[in-house]
Amino acid sequence: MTLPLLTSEQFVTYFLNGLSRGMIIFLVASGLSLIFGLVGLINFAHGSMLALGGYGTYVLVGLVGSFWAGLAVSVLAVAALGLLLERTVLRDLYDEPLLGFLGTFGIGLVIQEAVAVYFGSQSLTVASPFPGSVSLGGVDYPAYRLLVIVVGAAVALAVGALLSRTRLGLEVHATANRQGTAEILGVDTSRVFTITFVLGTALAALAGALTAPITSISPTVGLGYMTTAFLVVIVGGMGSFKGSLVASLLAGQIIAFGWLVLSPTYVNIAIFVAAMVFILYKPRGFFGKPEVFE
Amino acid sequence: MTRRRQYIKATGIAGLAGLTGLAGCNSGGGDGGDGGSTTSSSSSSSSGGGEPVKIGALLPLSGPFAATGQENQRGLKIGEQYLDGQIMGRDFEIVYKDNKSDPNASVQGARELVEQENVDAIIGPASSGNSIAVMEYIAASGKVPLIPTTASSTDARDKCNPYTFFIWPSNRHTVPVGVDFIQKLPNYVDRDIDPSKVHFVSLDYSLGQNNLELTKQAMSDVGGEVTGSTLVPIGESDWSSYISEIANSDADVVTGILTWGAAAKLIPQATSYGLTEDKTMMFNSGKPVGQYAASTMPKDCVGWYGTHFYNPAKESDINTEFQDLYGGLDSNLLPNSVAGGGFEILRSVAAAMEAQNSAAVDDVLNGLSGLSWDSIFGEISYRESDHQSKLDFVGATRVASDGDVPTFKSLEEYPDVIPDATCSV
Amino acid sequence: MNVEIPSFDIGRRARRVLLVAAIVVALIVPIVSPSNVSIATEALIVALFALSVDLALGYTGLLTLAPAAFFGLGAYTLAKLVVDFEQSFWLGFPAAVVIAALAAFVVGYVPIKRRIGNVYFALFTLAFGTVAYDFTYVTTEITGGSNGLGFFVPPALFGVNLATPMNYYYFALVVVGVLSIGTYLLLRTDYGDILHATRQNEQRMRYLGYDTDRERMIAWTFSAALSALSGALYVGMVGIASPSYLSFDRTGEVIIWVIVGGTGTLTGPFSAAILLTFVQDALSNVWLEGYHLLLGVLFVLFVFLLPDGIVGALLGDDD
Repeated sequence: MTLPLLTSEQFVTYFLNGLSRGMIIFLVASGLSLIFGLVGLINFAHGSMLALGGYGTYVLVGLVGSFWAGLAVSVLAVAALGLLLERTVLRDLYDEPLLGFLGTFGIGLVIQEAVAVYFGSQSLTVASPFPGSVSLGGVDYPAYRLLVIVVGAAVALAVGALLSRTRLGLEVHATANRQGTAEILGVDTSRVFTITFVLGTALAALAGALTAPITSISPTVGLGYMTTAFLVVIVGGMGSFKGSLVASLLAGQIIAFGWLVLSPTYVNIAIFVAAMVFILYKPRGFFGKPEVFE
Repeated sequence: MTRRRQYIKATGIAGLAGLTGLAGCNSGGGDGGDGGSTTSSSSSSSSGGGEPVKIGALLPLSGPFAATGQENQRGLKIGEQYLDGQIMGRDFEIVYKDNKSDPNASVQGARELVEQENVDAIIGPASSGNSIAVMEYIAASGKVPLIPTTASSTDARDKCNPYTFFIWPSNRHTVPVGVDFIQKLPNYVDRDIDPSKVHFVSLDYSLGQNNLELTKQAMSDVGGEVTGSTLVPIGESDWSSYISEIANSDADVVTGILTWGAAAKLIPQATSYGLTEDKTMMFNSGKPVGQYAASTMPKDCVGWYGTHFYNPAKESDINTEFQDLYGGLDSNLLPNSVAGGGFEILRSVAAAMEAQNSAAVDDVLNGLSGLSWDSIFGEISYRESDHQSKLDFVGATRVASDGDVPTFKSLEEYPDVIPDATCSV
Repeated sequence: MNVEIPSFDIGRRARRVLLVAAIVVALIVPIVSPSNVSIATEALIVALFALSVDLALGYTGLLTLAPAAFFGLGAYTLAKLVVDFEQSFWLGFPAAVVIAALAAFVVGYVPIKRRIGNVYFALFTLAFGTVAYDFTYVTTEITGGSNGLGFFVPPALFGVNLATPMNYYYFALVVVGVLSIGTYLLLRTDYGDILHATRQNEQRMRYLGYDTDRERMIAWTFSAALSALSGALYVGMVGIASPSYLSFDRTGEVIIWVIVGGTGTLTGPFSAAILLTFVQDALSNVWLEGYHLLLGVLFVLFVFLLPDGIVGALLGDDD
């Protein structure tokens, strides 16, 4: 297989494609990583939270007309749903991995099917708030995808700062590290769990809202992203926010450039096989911390 | 274990057992209310007599082809209204089965329609791959008239299945028309383009694979070539890598064939990359110039070219009535060819039954063969030799208009298109 | 003051009566309700599938998300042999077993030997299942891709044409009956006790001298082979294999049956699969667009309220 020589415009285009894709994956994966790393819950409902974020935006844009207002309200609404779920049913499942997995799987399934019943199974398009392209590095690149990259980066910085520089972040680390000790020292671990879950869910909803103008939404839109996110989390390391960022961006670039070498479905397969190898030999991934749930 | 839990469990189990009993009652199609023979197992039709006519509709109501299937369903529903719910003076009912855009569920669904529901004919599936699977089942055991809605691959047509009829054009209809229209594009496009080189884009299944082969052949017949192809896996939602591949190609013209789902991804994403400024996009079977794109992507589809066999502005009584009936539906789309396909297929089945005054399999087959009628697509008929239809095509584009919807502009006309028969039933 | 609370266990005699009743019903279905024969055949075959999954998931405690991969592997093996290589239909079954067992061994050896833990095993099998599905979809030359691999009809057996619904039903009944009763009896022996004990406390079993990795490997492989056989039976009934055999939806569906029936009970998932196949069919006639939703709700209710499943609950504290 000979690698074709790329012009600089092509390189920039593919690199930006990879970034925009990677950012969406990151938003999904980071939430999953936090939830899994802290709480130990395999949250199979995560994908449907993404879908709800997309559908919420679709509905609100139809009602209100503004994409950003629609996005904001949708993310908040899904976060509220996450809060409700965590407070009522999910917190009882933290100690039972099988039930946790099955329970969230069931909830995800119900949400997906409810959406299909209400909206139908076909893809729905959300008009892009910034149609048209922008000139960048000699290349005309879709403006909206650039925006996705910017938003993703901003979120990464904000949440990263939250985790490393605030008291809440300290409490999250402490609870992940040694829950018992943290409680003795006065950390309300149950509140930490709730906040983490809600934050993770909000990130998934944001991903769904952001991706809607690019790829359009359908009831199963979250499944593909969620599966990729799980594996990215493995490679990046469970519970590691930084790890999920690095692995997501890497996955995005692999998908964006991989098609030059292999057909895209084979690239996907390669990523999954790589994840399988990681699970076997390096389950903590690159950045995972030993104290996080094994 | 406490008494209360015993009660809950007992009730739960009784309830589920009751549901099973209900299941037994409900799925005993012929045993139900329509008076069909209770001992029939695989015999398919209820002939003559006064029993209601049952028509099966095997459509993708979920999965990647759901948009097409749901629209076919709309066409069937307004067809029912058009017929006032009656064929041969008796009530008729349409039994819907979801084939989930999948060959396995398609064959299962066909089986259920024939064995459990005893339908007199089946309308559907929508996609080529699934239609081929069902056709084989019908020829081997099902043995009822089968009319797929939008299957275009020639793999389906070349087998001349005596039970199957096609209203929709095949790739052999559309490709020669498309290639000819491409050669005429320099007359309509503002910049210099070389119509002898094309890049081909479609989905990676029988429709696209088949269309690619035929396009290569047809291009070579006019002294041109297909310089490259992009076949996208079904269900892929982010087309950025594929758009990159298309942008990289040598050809000035991009052609191919799309499903609605694919068009919903390609058209907005390609426009966002500014692809239409570098390449001329000309697709077969309507997608960029048809009503679907015009209603869901009105700004993005302007400037795309396409060949189509439904001209929404065509003046005819039946077209007016179809559009009126469609307007009564709760749909955010304009009246379109996919709904029209469902509508006209139902009309043709009803017409065949009325002509023969019977719903028996052999009578319906005789009635359909050679049947000719005035449809929203113009006058069409099922050719006796291979059950394909002759259709009028146009090469067209969409131009911006004052209103919400861009205007359909017909540029070239191709009347009476039908390929030579490759087999005989 | 102690009141004797009667247990709701079904006694041994009741179980026998139920079993006989079930056999009688199974035998007369095609005669009494001929239009339901196809559904009944499908119900039997997926009951075997559910049984095979319970063997790995419930009985041995291997949290697998890849059962559809083995189901599909069995189906495609048979379809490929019949359609592309024009071999005998009967060759398809042993071929399915061999290929599935090999695949299971290759895929499962390292995870099981390394004892990677439930959560990781689930994700590993999830990845494997996705790879299998994508591979089937994309390698159009080998598998037919999304067009599927088919169409064929089963041949005659001892002069009986299996291509009619009723005959194939009895054929499936015999095969499913033999395999499921065989598995059930096998697990009632010491071997089953070993597996059961391993699931409950692996460390203790190891200290007692059992090679738990080997036992789990065997159970895993056996489960995969049984799944593949059910896939082969299924494709014989339908006539075409397609990527949907390996889809995550199919895995989800069988896991629902296992949970509702009761993990580890074997009879539970078997019966739940049959029951729910009929229920799903009835519901799809009533509410075509939305019956999946009801199933999902049912599943969630079971997970949260009745995690032992129907049979698990009926068996009470037998565990």
